[in-house]
Amino acid sequence: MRYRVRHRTEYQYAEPVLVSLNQACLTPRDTAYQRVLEHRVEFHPPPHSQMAWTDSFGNRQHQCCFSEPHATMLVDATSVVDVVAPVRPPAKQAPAWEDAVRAVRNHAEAETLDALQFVFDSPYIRRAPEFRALAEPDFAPGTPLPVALAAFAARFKREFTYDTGATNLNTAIDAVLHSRRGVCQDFTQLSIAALRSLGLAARYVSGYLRTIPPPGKPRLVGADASHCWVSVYSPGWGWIDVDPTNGCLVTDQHITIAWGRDYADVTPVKGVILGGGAQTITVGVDVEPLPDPDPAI
Amino acid sequence: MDIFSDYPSAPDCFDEARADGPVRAAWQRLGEHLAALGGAELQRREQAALRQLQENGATYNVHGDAFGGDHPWELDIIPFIVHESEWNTLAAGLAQRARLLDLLLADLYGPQTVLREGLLPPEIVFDNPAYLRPCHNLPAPGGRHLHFYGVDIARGPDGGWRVLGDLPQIPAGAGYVLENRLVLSRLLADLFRDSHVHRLAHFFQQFREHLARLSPRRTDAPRLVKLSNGPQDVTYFEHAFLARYLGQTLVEGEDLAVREQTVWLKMLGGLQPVDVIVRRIEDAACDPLELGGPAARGLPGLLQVIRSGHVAVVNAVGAGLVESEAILPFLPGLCRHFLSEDLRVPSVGTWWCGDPAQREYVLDHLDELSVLPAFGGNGVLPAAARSQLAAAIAEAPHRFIAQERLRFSTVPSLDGERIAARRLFLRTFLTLTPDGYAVMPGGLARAVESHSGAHEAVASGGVSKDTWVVSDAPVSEFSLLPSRGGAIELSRGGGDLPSRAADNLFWLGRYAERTDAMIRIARLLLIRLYERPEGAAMPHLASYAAALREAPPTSLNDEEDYQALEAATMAFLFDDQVPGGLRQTVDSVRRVAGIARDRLSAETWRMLNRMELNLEEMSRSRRFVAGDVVDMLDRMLIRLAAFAGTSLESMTRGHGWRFLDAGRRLERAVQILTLLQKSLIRPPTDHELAALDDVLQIADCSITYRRRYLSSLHAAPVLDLLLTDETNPRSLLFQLEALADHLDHLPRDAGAVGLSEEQRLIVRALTRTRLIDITRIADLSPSGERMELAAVLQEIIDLVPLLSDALTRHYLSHAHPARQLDTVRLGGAGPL
Repeated sequence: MRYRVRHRTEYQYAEPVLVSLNQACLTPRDTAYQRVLEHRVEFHPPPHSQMAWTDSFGNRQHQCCFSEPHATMLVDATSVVDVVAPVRPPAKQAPAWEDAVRAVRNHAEAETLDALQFVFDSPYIRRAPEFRALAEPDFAPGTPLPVALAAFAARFKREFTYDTGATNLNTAIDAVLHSRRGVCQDFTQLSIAALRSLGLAARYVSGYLRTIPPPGKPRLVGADASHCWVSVYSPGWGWIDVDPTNGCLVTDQHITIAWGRDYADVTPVKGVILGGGAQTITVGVDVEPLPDPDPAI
Repeated sequence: MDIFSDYPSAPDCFDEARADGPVRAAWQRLGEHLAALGGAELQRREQAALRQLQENGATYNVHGDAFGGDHPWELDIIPFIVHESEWNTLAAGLAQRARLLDLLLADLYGPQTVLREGLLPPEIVFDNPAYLRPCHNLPAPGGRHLHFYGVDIARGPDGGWRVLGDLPQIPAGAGYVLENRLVLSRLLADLFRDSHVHRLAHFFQQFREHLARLSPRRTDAPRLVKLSNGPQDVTYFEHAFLARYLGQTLVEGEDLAVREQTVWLKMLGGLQPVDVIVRRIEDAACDPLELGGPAARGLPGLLQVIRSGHVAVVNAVGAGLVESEAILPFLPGLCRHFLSEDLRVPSVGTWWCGDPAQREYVLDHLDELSVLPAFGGNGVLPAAARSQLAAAIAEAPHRFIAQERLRFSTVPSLDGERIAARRLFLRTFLTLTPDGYAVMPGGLARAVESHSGAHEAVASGGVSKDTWVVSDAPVSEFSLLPSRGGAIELSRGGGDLPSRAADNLFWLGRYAERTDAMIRIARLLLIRLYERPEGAAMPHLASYAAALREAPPTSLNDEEDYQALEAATMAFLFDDQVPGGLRQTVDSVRRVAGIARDRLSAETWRMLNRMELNLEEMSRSRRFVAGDVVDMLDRMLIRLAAFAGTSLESMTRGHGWRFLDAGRRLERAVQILTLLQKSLIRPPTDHELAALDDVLQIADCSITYRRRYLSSLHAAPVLDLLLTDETNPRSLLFQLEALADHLDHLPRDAGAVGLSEEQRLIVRALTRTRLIDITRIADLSPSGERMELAAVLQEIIDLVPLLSDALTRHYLSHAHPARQLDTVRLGGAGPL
């Protein structure tokens, strides 16, 4: 699938911001199943300086500085990406989940050593027996990891209610476990906590999701949103992306921006400001499917 | 006589004074010297040392308790002596360790080969909160992470040195070493001179030269700043002391700004680029944008400037990663890997529970070991709950370490008049030089009464000792210190004053002058009350009480009212709960002086400190006899006069002095206006003459007046002397003219036309004062009032806050505190 994604984040300040430094993590990365064809991030008003670099997880980060008073800031990211669904051997032949735990714990290769950094606690996520208990029903001994993950995601979708009013950015995963309500941010971080508590390497992936309009209705521009999901390491299979909000393994409907240990590593837009008063944020995301490229290529 | 041969040291450990070898002679000389002085004299000198430390304001806070306040620094007069032959061997080992940790940091924040090759378990890095991912691949200044490094060491029972802990992040303590040396070398001057003690100055000189070389800009005069958490930091004394000693500008986060990938220092004359930052703030607080944490601390955007190569920060941000004791068991292997050498100075015996074999040893020896969290935290875990401890280790073994309880060597310490044995440990420091790491010839020795383990000892603090590395031959006497009694180091030319420092000096001037005015009023009040014959009416005294407390005068009718006035005056002086009272004002003096400390000479600081000690002493005694109180107030006035005198006589006429003096002038103008407003607008009938006399006394103008007019008291000449006589340094006009002169000499924005707002205001105040018709305003109306005087005074008083605000806005404004931008969670996308 080929997509054009436009992601606009606009800040309006009640009083002028005198100086601000901002950081954006909005550049989709190339993966085994994704190719970025076009991308640009623009800031308005034009910043006084701007710089980009690749962070320790391989994500592209942008930073910019405004040193004149400004009442609004717009971060406008546009990308064109090709995504294909992962092609994998039958899930039943995959390694058991305990093998994945063991492989990461022994970290004998570069790949497993890299995965090891996603086993531990991180700013928003800690491991605990109660989180482990959430995942355990789907992780019977010897269950192949992709089978267990698919079952866990499906059950997660059944047991948890999508509710934008139930939580906010600061809601701890403990509260989400208790209330069983939240948004994909909450579901992703709680799932990661559960999987890490089993000893698996699980990372947080930020990105977008293609939304399909109801039959007969036109696709609404700007109605889409940023999204996030979980990625789990399996020896031989590599990273398996799973979406607990939608109860499925990831195919070619998900567009990956970045990954890290949790939200703190891949916050889309953050910053430090002087002045400004109250802030109003408006986010618009538009995921537009483009005609497929020449299938012969 | 050798007083160290039979002092009661413990049998099961090494003793510093009795060890054989060349050091023996030095201890013997020290012992003879101390014996000759005698116990009583030793104690007297120790008290003198403590007094000097207190007056210098040497404080610390060993527990890092933000609310515990400052503790005075304690110094044992008996130094710890070590011979250079032994010290040099130790120093070579510590330099090796610094090289090793530097290489380890470069690897962990770079290719991480030691993790891939299994030389260091990755859990020690990945699960350690001190591993800061945004610092990965960040360029280190000159390619080195460790530039100034502190290390805690102690000697085991076998006489061999062990490393107790590494301080790569904030190597605190070097300033205390200097302070101890300054005090002790004076106190034991003869002995110090004869003992061939290696001087410290060369070491600090090497550090200073090293920092200058790190500047990314090619410039002859790189701008170096020391970034501090400010006066609430437990070692702030040292920040200011070292900054002054090394000629660095002491700054806090809000003094700096990041713009266009450069760090700038906010100066009076505008922004100036910063080349090198010596940080005394922890890794995680360095950049609130990338590392999180409260935005008001640290410097948002700092990492990006480092990434672009436009500033050098030492030590490299993230260096705290190698502080974890979990690394200690792996250092010997890492040393062979990086340096192809054996580790020369071993660490205190440490086991990391993440390794099955080491864990097994720990669980088998729980009673003999101290168990600690591997990644910082709450110190030694209580040994009592053994089963709980074992369970906690089993839950997350890689998060625990255990250490042997090393028995430190004993060292002679002064305990009252006798010599007692204390346990010794020591922090010393290394700086990078073009020839590798150089070790300070000395260190911060500590003597503790007893201890169970290394960690416990370091946490307990103990009493400090100077460390003398002695030579058999004379040593170099190179010194970095300015000669004693030197000038206040305030300004190195026009724009070189950070705005915040100017702000502090301005308020120091204001508070000091306010203190002076308060004392003069209170002193007069107490004297008058003291002299007052029983039953005599002195209703005018109420107006001075009003001038003190900015309240309308109360009436004084009967004896009880006079008693109440005296009680209220005492409370005003000694009760620290009275808002705006003397205690609180003196506290403010001390607070702003504390912040401006790197710009004040030691003498100035001592005078202010002594003034506060006087006041505190009497407040604590709770015996307020009028005569004693007046004496004490006199002493405080002398200290204030000395403070004013040193600033007048020894400060260069830079912007710092101008702000200090502008603060003083502005406050004195306010005080004159308030005093006249309260006392001479409606003087109580029949007490006009007494009031005029008192006003002259409070304003310190009696002598001038009497010389001019002999004893004939009239309102007009009094008002002329206090308001419009520009030759009288205590008149309003004198203050306003001085202020106008200061404002004319402050830096102006390039291209600014005409007068600034504050200049306009001062011209208005000056003109109004010059236009005063003294005979008219001195006239009493038939109802006994001076309404014209009231109007003039009010008009000028109203200009003062406007003036102060305009000045602050123009030069001193901190604008707004930095804060984090709100962020959006990823969550809009609902189920398919």
